[in-house]
Amino acid sequence: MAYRLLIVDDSPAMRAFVRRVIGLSGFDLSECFEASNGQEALEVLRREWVDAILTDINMPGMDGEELLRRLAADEVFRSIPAIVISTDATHHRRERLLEIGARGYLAKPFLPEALRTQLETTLGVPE
Amino acid sequence: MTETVLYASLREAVDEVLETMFFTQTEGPADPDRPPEELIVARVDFEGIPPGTLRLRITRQAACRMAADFLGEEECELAAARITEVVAELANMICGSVLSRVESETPFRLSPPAVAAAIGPVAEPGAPGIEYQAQLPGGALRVMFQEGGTAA
Repeated sequence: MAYRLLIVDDSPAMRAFVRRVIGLSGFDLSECFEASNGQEALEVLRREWVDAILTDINMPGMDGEELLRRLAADEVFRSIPAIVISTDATHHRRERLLEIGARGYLAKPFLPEALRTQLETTLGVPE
Repeated sequence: MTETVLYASLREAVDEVLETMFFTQTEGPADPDRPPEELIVARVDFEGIPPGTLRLRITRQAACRMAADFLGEEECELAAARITEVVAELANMICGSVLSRVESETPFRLSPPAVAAAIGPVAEPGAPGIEYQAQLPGGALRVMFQEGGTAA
């Protein structure tokens, strides 16, 4: 099965990198959408169904924390798993984001294999 | 936080970010006598306890090579804006990685990186805070980390 993903990050370079390492990792990707903040992500989600969301936290406009809250409060979007990709690897930030709805957490820097593992675990991809 | 611990955290953060995300390694200390050259400089301020600033100076040629590795593109095809974006992300990741290593009781928050072009020596003497300099394929990198205020 191939998956549809949404990458949310204000850095175009980071979005390109994530898209690239997903390809390098061998993850089965059919389509990849991009947004530069939480508001844009919600607009994409109103148009396109995705299987998972990869989101940064620190972004101008609607940040990743608010995006997670909006997703959790929406009857349709709450079923889409969101994985946080953040430079903040501290345990209190990780715990906080998992509490408000993140289904996975990946701290930068990360290896391509770690991203694939996180995606497959979150999506329940059979080995 | 002692300077020794902070220096070790900065060095580990730089090395890990370069190896993991940029598929490159440092090649020992930067030559302190490198002549002035084209640089890209970046700055990330952070809030938390304590607040502070991370500043980064990288030679343009090294930045270009790293950006190509990061994006998986040819060096010669990269626009200046894309190299700038990658240097901003490099500074952002190093700053977050250092702060995660010196984990405090309060969350930190990073400002959006400010990036500019400059001409000068990559090694600028007399900068405040802890610094780590390294030779890279194609150039050199210098990262300065200052806690307890913002650098000029």
